[in-house]
Amino acid sequence: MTNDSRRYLDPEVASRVSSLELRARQIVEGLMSGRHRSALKGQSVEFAQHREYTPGDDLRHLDWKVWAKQDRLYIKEFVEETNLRATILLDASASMDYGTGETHKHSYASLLAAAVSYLLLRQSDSVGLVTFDQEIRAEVPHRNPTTHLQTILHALHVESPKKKTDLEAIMRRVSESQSRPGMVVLISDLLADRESVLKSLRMLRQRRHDVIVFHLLHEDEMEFTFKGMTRFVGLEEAAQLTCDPRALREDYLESLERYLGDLRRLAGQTGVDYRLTRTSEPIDAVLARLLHERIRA
Amino acid sequence: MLSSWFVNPAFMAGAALIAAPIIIHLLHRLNFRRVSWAAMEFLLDSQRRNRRRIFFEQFLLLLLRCLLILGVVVLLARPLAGERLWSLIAAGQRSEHVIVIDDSFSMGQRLGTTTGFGEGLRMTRLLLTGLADQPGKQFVTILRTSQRNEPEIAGAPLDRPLVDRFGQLSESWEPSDLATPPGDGVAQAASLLAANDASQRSVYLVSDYRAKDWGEEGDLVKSLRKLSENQTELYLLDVASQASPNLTVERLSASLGSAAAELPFDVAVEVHNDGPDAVERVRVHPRLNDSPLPAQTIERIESGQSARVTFPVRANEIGRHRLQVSLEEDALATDNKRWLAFDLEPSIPVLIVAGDARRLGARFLSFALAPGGGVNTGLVATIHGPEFPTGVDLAEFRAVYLVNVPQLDGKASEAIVDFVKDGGGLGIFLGEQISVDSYNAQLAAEGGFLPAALGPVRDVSDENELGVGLAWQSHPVFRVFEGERNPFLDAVRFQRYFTLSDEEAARDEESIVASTSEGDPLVVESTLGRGRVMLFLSTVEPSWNTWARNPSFVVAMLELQRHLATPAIEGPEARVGVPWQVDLDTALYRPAATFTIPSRGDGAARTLEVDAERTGLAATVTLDQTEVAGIYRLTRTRTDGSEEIVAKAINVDPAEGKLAKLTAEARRELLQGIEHHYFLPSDFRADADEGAFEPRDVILLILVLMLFFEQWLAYRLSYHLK
Repeated sequence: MTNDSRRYLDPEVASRVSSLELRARQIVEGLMSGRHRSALKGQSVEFAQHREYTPGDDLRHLDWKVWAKQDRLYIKEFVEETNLRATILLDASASMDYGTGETHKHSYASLLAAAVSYLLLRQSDSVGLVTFDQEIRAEVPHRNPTTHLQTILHALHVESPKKKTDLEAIMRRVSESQSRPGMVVLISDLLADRESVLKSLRMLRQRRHDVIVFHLLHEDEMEFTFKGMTRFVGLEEAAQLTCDPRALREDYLESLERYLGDLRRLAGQTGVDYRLTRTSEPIDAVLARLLHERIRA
Repeated sequence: MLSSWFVNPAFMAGAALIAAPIIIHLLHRLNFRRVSWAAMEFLLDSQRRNRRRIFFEQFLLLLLRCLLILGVVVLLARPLAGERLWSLIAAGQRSEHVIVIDDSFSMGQRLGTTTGFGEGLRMTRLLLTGLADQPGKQFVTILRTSQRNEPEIAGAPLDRPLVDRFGQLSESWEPSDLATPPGDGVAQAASLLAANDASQRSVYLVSDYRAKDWGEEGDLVKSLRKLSENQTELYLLDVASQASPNLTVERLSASLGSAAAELPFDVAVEVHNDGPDAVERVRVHPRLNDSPLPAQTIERIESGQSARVTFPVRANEIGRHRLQVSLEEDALATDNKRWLAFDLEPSIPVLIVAGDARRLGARFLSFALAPGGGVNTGLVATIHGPEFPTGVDLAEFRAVYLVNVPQLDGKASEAIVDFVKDGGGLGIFLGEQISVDSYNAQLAAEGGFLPAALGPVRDVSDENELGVGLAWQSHPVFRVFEGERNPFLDAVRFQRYFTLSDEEAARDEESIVASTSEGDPLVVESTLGRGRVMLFLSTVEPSWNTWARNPSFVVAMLELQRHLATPAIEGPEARVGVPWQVDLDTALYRPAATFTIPSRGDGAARTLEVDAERTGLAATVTLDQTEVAGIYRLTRTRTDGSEEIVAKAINVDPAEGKLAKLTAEARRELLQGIEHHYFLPSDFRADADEGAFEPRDVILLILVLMLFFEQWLAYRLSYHLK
C-alpha cells in the first residue's frame, strides 16, 4: 500500500470522513425521500482515457487489467454525457475558522459541501471540489460515481484555516480550467476584498456558469450582540480593535447590510443564485429551500 | 479660604472622589475579552465613522459622573451662595467694612413684634452673613453710636464664626437711653477708615432716619459727603420705623424754692404730643419714693404741642426724695418717664435786711411770711440790720428782702448779684431812708440788680386823701386774687410811692407787674441770671400805703416768696450721656466718691468708686457712665468720716421722641451728589434669616436632573437591542 493510501487510512480522518458522509447521506436521503424528479441533472457512459487513481475514486472503475499488467492503479474515464458538471468551491481561509460546534463556519461549510456533493452524485452528476484560501489547497476533479464522494470528503478535511482569501485569483483559475459552462457552488463567507468578490462572481456568470453562492455567516457576524469591552483580533488581517461593541453595533450592521445589499443586487443583475446562510440554520433546510426554489424555477 | 465658601469645608476633601469614575473607566478599558474576528472590515469601518461620537458620548458620561460625585461632595460641604461676579473678580482684595448701628432710644420704637433696633440687628446679621460669603479678605468693624469710641468688633476678619459671635453679642443689646446723633457714629467710622489702606471701604449706617437727625445739611451729611469723596461705598440701611403717635414727658419740675418737709409744693409735668392728631385725657402717673400718687390728667394736647399739668406734692420726711412721672405705654417707651431728685429741709430760710433801726417794715414782712402760732408756712425769716450782713452766706436762703435799706456798698451789692444770678430771689421794698442817687448810681447801673432807676417820690394824698388804688397784671404774685369774688386788693390805697426815672418811662410794660390806678408803676420785676428781682416802689409797713393792714397782704407776700424762690430760669437739666461732675472741697471731703448708677428696667443699681482729680485744693469727681436715665447718687465722705449723699436725676433728651421720618425727597435732596445705596428691611430676604443663602435646594435639583440625564445617557450608550 502506498504512503498516500496510508494517509487516507488515518483513523481520525477516516472517522471524520465517515461521519461527514453519514451526515451528508442522512441529510440528502431525508431530503430526497418521496422526491421523483432530480433538480440537478447529469449522466455519463462512453470510455475516454485512463488516469491515475486518486483516493476516493470508485474502485469499480479501476482497470484491473492495467493493474495486473503494470501493478499500477488506473481508473477508466468516460466521455461525459452528463448534463451537469458541478464544481464546489469551498472557502478554507482563516475567516472561516470562526464559531464553535456545528456553527463553526468551516465545519458547516464542509458539511454543506458534502451534502451538495452527495446530492449531485446521487443523481449521477459530475462533481468536482476545490478548497482554497489565497491559493487552492485541494482539488478534486469532476467525477460522477457515487464512490467519488469519499474522494470529496477526504478533500474537505482541512487543518485549521490560517490564510487569507484571494477569491478573484481562485475563481479565475477555476473558471479557466472549466472547458464548458457548468454549475459552480461557492461556499464562502465572502469576507474578502469586496470588489474582488463582486468581480469574481461577475466573471463566473460571464462564462455562463450556473453559480450558486452559499454566503455563510455566523450568527455573531449577523447580529453582533457582543457586550462589554472587547478586543477584536482580525482572523485574516493584522488589525485589532478594542472597543465597546455595543457602541459600534448599529453601524456595523449597517455596513454589513450594505455589503449584503451589493451582493443581492449583483445576484439580481447577473443571475447568481445567492443564498445568505447562517451557520445556525439546519443544512437540510438550506438544501430543501435550494431544491424547492430550483424546481419551481 | 474654603471656610469663606462652605459651611463644612472639610467635606471638600471628598472632591478627590471625582477620580473614581475616571479610574473605573480606565480599569474597564483594560479589562477586555479577546475575540478572533473575521468581519474586521465592517468593524473598522464602523469604528472610523463613530470614533468622535463615541468619544464625545463617553466623555460626557464620564464628566457627568464626575460632576455627580462633586455635586454630592459640595452638597455635604454646604456651599454659601450670593457670590457675584464682581466679588469673584475682587477675590483676594482686602475690603474694610464699618457698620454703624444707631442705638439712640428712638430706635426702640415698636414695630409689630420687634423694634426698630431689633430690625436693625436682623439686617446687620444678614448683611454680615452676605459679606462673609463673599470671597476675598473681609474685615469688619461694628460700632454702636452710644459707644462709638469702643467698637464692639474692631477690624475683625469677617467669616461665619464672626457672624455667630455677632449674633451672641447682639442678643444682649438694646437701644440706649441716649440721643446720640447718627452723624457722630458716621464721623467715627470716617475717622477709623481714614488710616485704612483697604482697596475697598464701605460704611453702613443702620438707623431709623428721623428728620431731626438730618435736618439741614449738618455734620452727618458732611461726614457722608467726605466719605463718598474718599471713594468709600455708602450703604444706608433704614429699619423702616414710621412716624407714629408718641407722647413725651418733656419736663418735670417742682417749685422747690417754697418746698419744705410737710409742706405741699407744686410739681409741673409738661407732655409733648408728637403725633399727627390731638390727644385727650392723657394720664400722668406720679410716684414719690416709689409710692404711687394720684394720677393726673391733661385734658387735651394738640398735635405738635405741649401741655402742662401742675399738682401739689407733699412729703413729710426731711431729706432726699425722688419723684418719677410716667405716661401710659405708647410706641416709644423710653421717653414716657422722667425723674426728679430733691432734698427737703425742715423749713425755708429767708433773709430780711431792715434798713431802719426800728425794723418796722421788716417785722410786718416777717409776720406775713412766718406768722407763727399755729400757722406753719415753712418759712423762717432772719432779720438783719440796719447794715447789710456781709458775713452771711446768702446761698443758705431761698430769698432775700431789702426793706428800706438806704444804700448798699459794693461788696454787698456784688453778693446780692451773685445770689440772684445763681437763682435766688430778691424782693426790694422802699421807704423814707432810700438814697435815690445811691440806688440809681450803684444798684440800677450796669452790673447792679435794681430793675429800674428811681425817680422822685410822689405823694398823692394832696390830691386824693385816701390815695390811689392798685391795678395788677396777671402775674403769679397776684394770680390768686383774680376773679370777681376777691375784692380785698380793691381796698388797698397808696398815698406815697417812688416813681421811676424819666429814662425808665419807655421801659417794657411787661416788667410792670402792678401799678396805681392812675398808671404809675408800683411793682417792677426783672430777672438777673437765673434769679428774679421784684421791686416794690412803696413801703412794706402801712406808712405810705394801707396794704399791710389789708388781708390780701399776707397772701400776696407768701405768693411773692413762692415766686421769688422759684428761679426764673431753671438750671440745665442733667441729660443721659453727659458726665456728672461734682466738685469736692478737700478741706471738707475726702478726694474720692462712690457713685450709685441705676440700671435699666428692674435691675439692681451698681456702684462705682471714683477717685477725684485734684487741682490744688480743689478736687473733682466725674462719672462718665451716665447712659441710663434715672436717679444717680453720689456718696462723699467728709474728713471726719461721716458720709453725705447727693442725688441727681438724669433724664433722656425729649427731642429724641420726635419720630417724624426723613422723607425720601428730603433724603435725596440732602444726599445730592453723594453716591450711596439705600436699603429697606424688605431688601433683606427673610428666608436667609438663619444664615446665608445656601443653595442646597438648587444643587439638589441640579443633581437630580444630572442623575436623570446620566441615567438616560447611560441607557442610551448601553446600546440596548432595539
